Amino acid sequence: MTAEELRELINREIDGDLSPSEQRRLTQALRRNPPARRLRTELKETASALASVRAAEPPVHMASRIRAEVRARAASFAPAGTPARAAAPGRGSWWASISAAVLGTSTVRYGAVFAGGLVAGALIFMLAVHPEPAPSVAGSAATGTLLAQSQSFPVNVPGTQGTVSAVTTETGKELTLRLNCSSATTTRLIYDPSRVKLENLSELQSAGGPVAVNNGVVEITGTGTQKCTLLFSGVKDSRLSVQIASSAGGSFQAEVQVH
Amino acid sequence: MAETSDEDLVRQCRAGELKAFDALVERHQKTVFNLALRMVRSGDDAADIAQTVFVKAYENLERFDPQYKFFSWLYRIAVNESLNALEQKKRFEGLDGLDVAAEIAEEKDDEALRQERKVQVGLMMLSVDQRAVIILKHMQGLSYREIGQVLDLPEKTVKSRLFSARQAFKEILKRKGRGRNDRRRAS
Repeated sequence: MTAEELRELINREIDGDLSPSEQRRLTQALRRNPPARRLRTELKETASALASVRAAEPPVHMASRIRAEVRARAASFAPAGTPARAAAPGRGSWWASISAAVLGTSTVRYGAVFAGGLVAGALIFMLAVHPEPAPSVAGSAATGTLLAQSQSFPVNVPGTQGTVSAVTTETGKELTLRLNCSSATTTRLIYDPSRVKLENLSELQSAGGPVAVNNGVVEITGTGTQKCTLLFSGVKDSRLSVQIASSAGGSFQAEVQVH
Repeated sequence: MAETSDEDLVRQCRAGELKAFDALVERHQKTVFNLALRMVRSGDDAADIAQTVFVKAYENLERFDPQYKFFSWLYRIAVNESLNALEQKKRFEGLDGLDVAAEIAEEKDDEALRQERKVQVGLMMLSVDQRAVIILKHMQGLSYREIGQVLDLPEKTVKSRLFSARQAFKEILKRKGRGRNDRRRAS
């Protein structure tokens, strides 16, 4: 038996994976191999140290928080194919579709909602081809460019109004969101994490809900006035494309150019 | 009366029954929380990760393939979310100082706590790939095959990664044991 085979048998023994004949072979091999016996003892001690760690109790309110969050999501969009909730077109289902379209590979994340049917598909197509569905971006152009060192855009989508502004700092490009979010609305700022890196996020003011960051999506679930600053690095050609979308429908696309 | 299976609960969720999802949360919250906790070490972060895991599971329930076990799918989301959280954390603060903080704490607590801290610090010194297999095997009790499903790896790769991880972890524990003994002798 080679040393490699012996090592494998020892490990599989620890995992309870040996057949009786393999166990016999191992026992025989160990008899004439003190270093292998030592290795076996040490690995068994290691496994026992790992097994000694007790499972921790989750925070008391964790489950209720999860349930509340799931209900909030269910109210705005349902898992695809859920008959009862699929009857809420034009709300979260297409907002999630926008996220998926913008994020590309992140269809895994929000993709389930993507299957809202052909109607939603057609809507996505229309959004991709004509990114200015006028009703959803009231009061501002769908795409804008911030040319000055510090300038702000109005954001006006159903359920979310405010501004997004950008400045150049020593460490990168800084976006500040000042948003007033209505209840039961989730607002998401979407960026492309393969192009830029979110270095920092500061919640300057948050009423009622957390700001969460997850792989290209900054999610604001609170209601009332929300203010946060996001510091991005890796912005090429001074251009930073972001999208702000609301679960109540509508999106605001901004290509921010900061000098 | 027999407990409703995960698969039945998933079917009920897909039919729009939110209470069925509550039951899945109730059933799996502790394991998901502990998986995240061992991956990222912070209880607050682990609770946030667990919340994200369940929300994502709910949102993507239609994508769940019933030929696999529900918990494997859930753990897969949990591992991915933990890796995302670690990536974010690394950007913001790094993990330096972790070892020292735990060592200071070690001197004050009882033996069981000391041992747990030693294990947790040791886990954080492994690569994330190694840490994930160790946690899934030794703390969640998954088989090679189930670990393969969670991490999307062939069983053979799971074994070799687990064996190397255990070897690396053994060396870490040995070094830490030696370090503490040296300090005790010095004092």
